[in-house]
Amino acid sequence: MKEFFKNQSTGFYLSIASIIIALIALLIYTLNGKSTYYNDYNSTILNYTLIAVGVEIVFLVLVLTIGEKRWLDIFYVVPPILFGIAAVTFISFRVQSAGIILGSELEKGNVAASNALMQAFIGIGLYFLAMITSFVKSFKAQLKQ
Amino acid sequence: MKNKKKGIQRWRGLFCVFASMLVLFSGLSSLAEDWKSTLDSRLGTVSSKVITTESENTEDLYSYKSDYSNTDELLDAHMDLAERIQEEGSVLLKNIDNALPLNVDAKVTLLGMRSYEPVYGGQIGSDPVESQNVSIIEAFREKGFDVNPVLERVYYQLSKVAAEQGDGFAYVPGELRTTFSVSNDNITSLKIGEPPISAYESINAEYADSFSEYSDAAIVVVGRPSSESGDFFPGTVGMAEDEGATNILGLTTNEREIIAHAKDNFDKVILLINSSSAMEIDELKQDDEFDAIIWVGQPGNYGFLGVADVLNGTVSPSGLLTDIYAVNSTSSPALQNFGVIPYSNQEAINSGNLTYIDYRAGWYLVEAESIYTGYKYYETRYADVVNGDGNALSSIGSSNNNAWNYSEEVSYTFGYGLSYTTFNQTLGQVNFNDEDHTATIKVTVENTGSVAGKSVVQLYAQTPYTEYDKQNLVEKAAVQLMGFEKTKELQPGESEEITVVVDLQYLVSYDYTTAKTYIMDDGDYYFAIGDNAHDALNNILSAQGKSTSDGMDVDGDASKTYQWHQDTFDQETYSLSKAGVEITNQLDSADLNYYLPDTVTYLSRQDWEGTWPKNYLDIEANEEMITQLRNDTYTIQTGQDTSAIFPERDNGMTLSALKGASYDDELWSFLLDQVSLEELTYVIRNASEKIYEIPSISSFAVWEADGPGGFIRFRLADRSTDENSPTFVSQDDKNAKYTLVDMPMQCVVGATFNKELVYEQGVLFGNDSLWVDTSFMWAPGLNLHRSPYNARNHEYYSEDSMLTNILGEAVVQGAYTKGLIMSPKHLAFNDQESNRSGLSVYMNEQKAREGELRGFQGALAGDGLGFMTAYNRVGATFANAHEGLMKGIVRGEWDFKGYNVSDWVNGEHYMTVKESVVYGAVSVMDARGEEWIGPGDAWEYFTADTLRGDATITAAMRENTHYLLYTIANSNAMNGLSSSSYVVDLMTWWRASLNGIQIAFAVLSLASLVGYILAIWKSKKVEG
Repeated sequence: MKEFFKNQSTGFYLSIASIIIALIALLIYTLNGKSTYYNDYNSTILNYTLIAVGVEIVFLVLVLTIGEKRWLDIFYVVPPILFGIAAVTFISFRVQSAGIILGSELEKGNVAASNALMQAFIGIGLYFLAMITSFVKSFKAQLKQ
Repeated sequence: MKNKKKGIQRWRGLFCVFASMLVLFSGLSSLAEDWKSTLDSRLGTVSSKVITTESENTEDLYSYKSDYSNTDELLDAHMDLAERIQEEGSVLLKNIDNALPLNVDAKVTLLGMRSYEPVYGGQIGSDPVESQNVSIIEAFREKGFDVNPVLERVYYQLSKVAAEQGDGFAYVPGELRTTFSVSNDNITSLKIGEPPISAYESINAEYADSFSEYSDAAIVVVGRPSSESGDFFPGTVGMAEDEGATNILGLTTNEREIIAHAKDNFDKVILLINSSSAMEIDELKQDDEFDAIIWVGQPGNYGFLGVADVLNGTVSPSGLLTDIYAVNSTSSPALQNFGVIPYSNQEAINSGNLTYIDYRAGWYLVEAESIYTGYKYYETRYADVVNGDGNALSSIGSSNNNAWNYSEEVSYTFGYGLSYTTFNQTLGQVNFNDEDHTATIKVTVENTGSVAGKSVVQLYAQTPYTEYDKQNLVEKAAVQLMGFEKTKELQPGESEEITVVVDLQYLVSYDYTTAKTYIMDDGDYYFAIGDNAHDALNNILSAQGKSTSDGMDVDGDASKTYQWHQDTFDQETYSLSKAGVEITNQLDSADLNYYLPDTVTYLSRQDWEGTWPKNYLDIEANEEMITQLRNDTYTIQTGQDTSAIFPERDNGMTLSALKGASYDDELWSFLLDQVSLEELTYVIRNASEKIYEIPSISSFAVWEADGPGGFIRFRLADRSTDENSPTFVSQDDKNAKYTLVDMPMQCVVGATFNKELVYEQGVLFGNDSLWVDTSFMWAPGLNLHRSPYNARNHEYYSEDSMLTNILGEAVVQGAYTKGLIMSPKHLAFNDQESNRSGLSVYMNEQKAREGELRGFQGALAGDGLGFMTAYNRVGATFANAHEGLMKGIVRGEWDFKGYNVSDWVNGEHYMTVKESVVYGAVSVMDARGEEWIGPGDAWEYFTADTLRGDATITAAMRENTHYLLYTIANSNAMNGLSSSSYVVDLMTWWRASLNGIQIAFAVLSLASLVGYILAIWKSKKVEG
C-alpha cells in the first residue's frame, strides 16, 4: 500500500482532494437544503456533483489500470466545469435569502437564518475549492514516471 | 520528451481553467440577468428602457403628475407633513394646572434613556433610516428649547459605555427579537435597559447641579420598541431580566426611580410616552405631583419637531387615543388567549417527509372574546354594571379581585385627549336617507377657551341588545364609534358646523347563527357625541335615565344624544351588499366550533362571568382540520381542454393600448387571449418585489414595495430609470440617497382622527411613487389592535374598526389620485406576530365581520385596487386560500376588482400557490425565485406544462390576470407609455464587464485548446 501511494503523483492526490472536497460540499448543501430555514433541497446540485465525482473516480480507476492515455484528458475537463455549475446553482438558490438576511432587517436576530446562510456560503466556497483543486490537477500528471 | 509532456499538461491545465471560468461566468451572467432590476437599483444602472416610437406629446403620456418639481420640494413636503401629523397625533393625557404649554424658550432637562435613544419606528417594515432621524434633543433645540447639555452628556456616555459593552450591557434599551420561523419557543423577552440613578453618578457625580439652571421642566421619556415578527408577552416570561415591572408594558424599577428623581428635583414634571402599545401608567395619572403626560407614539424621522410644537404651544394638541389605556394591560378578555399555543397533536399533522413545521401548522389562537376588544369590552361592561345586567359586577376580569369597577380598570379610554383650549359641541339635526342608508348628523363646535385649536366630533352609537340577540348569540357593544370629523383650527370664540355622515351598513349586527346575515334589531337606537367613548356612553346612559346614583362615574348629558326607534326586526335591508350580492355566512370554518362543536364559549354580555374566555389550551386538531392544515386541498387535473382559456393567440394588442380602460372593457378579452401560461406561471409565483413583464402583451415590470411608514428599503434614485419622466431622479441628484420611510408610525396617524390629513398623506405617498417609480405599496396596515401585546401595533391605526375603515379609505384614495395602488394588509386577522406564519386564528363570524373585515371594507369595497393577504390562517385554512374570505366576501360582496398578493412566502408547503390561485389570489410573494418548481419540489406542479390540463386553475389564472392587468392599466405604472411603447435592453457597465470576461475566457479557452492540440501534434512529431 505504501508503495502504491509512493508511485502516485501530485495530480492523483489533487483528484482525491477534489472528490473529498466536493463530497463535503454536497453534504453541506444537503444539510443546508434540508435545514428548517431553507427546506428546499432538490436533486440538481446532487446530480452535478455525483456526475463530477463519478468522472473523477472513473478517471482514477482508468489511470491506475491502463496508465495515463491521451484520450483520458477529456476527463480533466468535465469535473471542474460541473463543480463550477454546482457552485453557481447553489448561489442562485441562495442569492435572494442572502439579500434578505444581509441586506434587510427581515431576519434580524434570526440566528437560524444567519447560520443557514453561513452554512450555504461555506458550501459554495467548498464547491469553488473543488473546482480550483480539480483544474489545478489538470496541470499535473497522475502517476510518477 | 519530458518537456513536451509538461507542455501538453500546461495547455491542458490552461484549457480546463479557462473553460471552467467561461462556464462559471456564463452562469453568473445569467444570474445577474435574473436580478437585473435589483442590480440596477443597487448599482444605479439602467439595463432597459422604454421606447415610444409614435410621435406623441411626451408630457401627455405622463398622465399622473407630481405636485413637486424637484426632490427638494418633495422632501420639504415630507418634513412638513410628518411634523403636522405628529402635532395632531400627539395625545395630551394629563395637564394639571395648565402645566403645558411651556414657554418657547424654556430651559428643560430631559430624563430617561429613551430621551437620548428614543424609538422612532418599528423594526423591519417601518424602520426609519437612522441617519435621517431628528432626535428629541435636536428637535427641541430647533424649536427654541434650551436643553440641559449635562444630562445629554451623561446619556451619551452611558450609551457609549453600553455600546462598548455590547447588547448584554444593562443600559442598552432592548430591541425585540424577531423571527420569521415558527416554533414552540417563539416567546420574545425584552430588556428595557433604563439605567439606575447610580449610573449617572458614575459618569458625572455633579450632574444634578445642572438641574437648577434647566429647571423650567423635567421631561421624562419612557418607551417600548415595536416590531414586525415580534410580540410582547405578559408576566415575567416577557422580560429578559427582572427589572421590577409586573408586565413589560408596566414601569420598571429604574423608570420609577428616574420619575421620582424628576419629582424630587423639579416643580414641573412631564412624561412623554414613546410607545405604540398602551402602557400601564395609572400610577402617574393618579399622582398629583406629576403634571403632564403626552403620548407621542413613534414619531418617525421628523415627528419630534411636532412634539416640540405641542410642548411649546405652537399648536394646541388635538390627538385622541386610538386604544384604551387599561390600568392592567392583561385584564382584557382578549389576553386570555394570546401567544404561542400549540395543538396538542402537532405530530399528527406530519405527513410523509413533511412536518407540522413545514406546514406551519402547529399553533392556534382562539379569539373567544368575540366582539369585545378594547373599549368595546370595558365600556360595555361598565354599561352593564350601571344597568345591573349580565353579572357585570363579578370579580372575573377584575385587576384587583374585587367587584369589577370601571374606574379601577381604565386609565384613559378610547378617543380620550385633552387640549389647551376648551370646546363646546352641540348636537344638531339628524337626517336619515333611506335611499343610500346613511344618516347625516350636524354638530356645532365652538372654541370656548382662550387659544386656537382643533376639536374632533366623535359620533358613537348604541344599538339595542334584544332577546333575539341573546337567543341567537348576537353581541352588541354598548357604544361604538360610527364616524368622526375634525374641525379646522378654531380661534377663541369661533364656531364651525360639522357634518358627520354615517353609513348604516356599519351600524347593523351580523347574526352568524340564525339569520346568517346582517340584522337590524327592533328597539331603541342612540347616536351620541362625546369627548371620548366613555363620555358618549355616559351621555347615552343619561338619556336612558341613569345617573351617578345608578353607579355611573359621572352624570352624562342627554342633550348630546339622538334617539330613534326601529319598529320591526329587519333582516332584509342589509342582507345585500352595495354591489347587490347576497350577504351570508362565509366564515363558518373560522369558528373552532365548526370543527369541534361546543368547544368554544364566546364572551357574551348576557353573563360576563359565565362566558369569560377560558384559556383554550391543548386543542387537538381532528382529521378535517388536519386536511386544511396541510393545505393540499386542490388536486391538479390533467387532460382537460384549456385551449379556449389560454388560446395564446396574437391579436396584436399591448397592455398600453388599454391604459385607463374600465374593468368591463371588451378589449380585455382580446388582450388576455395573447398571454401565455408560461409567462403567467412565472409572474404569479414571483411577485416578491415586482410584477414581472409579460412579453406577449408588451407589459413592463412594475415595482412594488413595503410599507406603512413610507417606501422602505430603497432610496430615491434607486429605481428611477426613465430619463424622459418629469419625476426622474438621477444618481447625481443631491437627494438621490434619501429613503422615504420617514413618516410617524400609523398609530400616530390614527390618533390625528383627521381624514383630510390622512388623505393628504395618501397623496404624498402617491407623489413619492412617481419619484421612485414604484406603483404598488404594501400599506396601510389595517389590522386591529386586539391587545397592546401585539408588538406590531405601530403599523395599524387602532383597536377600532371604524376609525381604521375611514382612515384606510382616506389614505388609499389620496394615493390613487397619483396612480399609486396602496395595498392594505394583512387581510385578515393577523392578530399576533408570534408564529404568525400558519397560525390558525379562530373566531366567530360576527367578530370577523364587525372587527377586522369592517376595518378593511372602506378601503377595498367598491373602488379598492389592491390588498395583501395575511400570513395566518382563517380558522385552519391559509388566508390566501380561504374561498369564503377571498371569493365570497372580498371579490363577491365587496366587488373587489383589483390586485392582491400574499405576504412574503414563508413555507412553500404552507403558502401553496395552487390553492391560492384557485381561491382568488392574483399572485404570491415568492421570496425564493424559482427554487420550488424543480422535480420533487413543493411547487413542482406550477408550470405551464402541468397546468395546461386543468381547466379550473387556468380559468382562475385568466380571471386573476384580468384583475392584475386592469389594476396596472389604471395605475401610474402606465406613465410615459403609449400603445407604441416597447422595451430595449441597454448596455450597463456590469453587463459589459460580464460579457467582456466571458469573451476573454472564450478566446483563452480556444487559444489553450489550440495550444493543447499543437503540443500533442509536436509531441507526436518528435515521437515519430
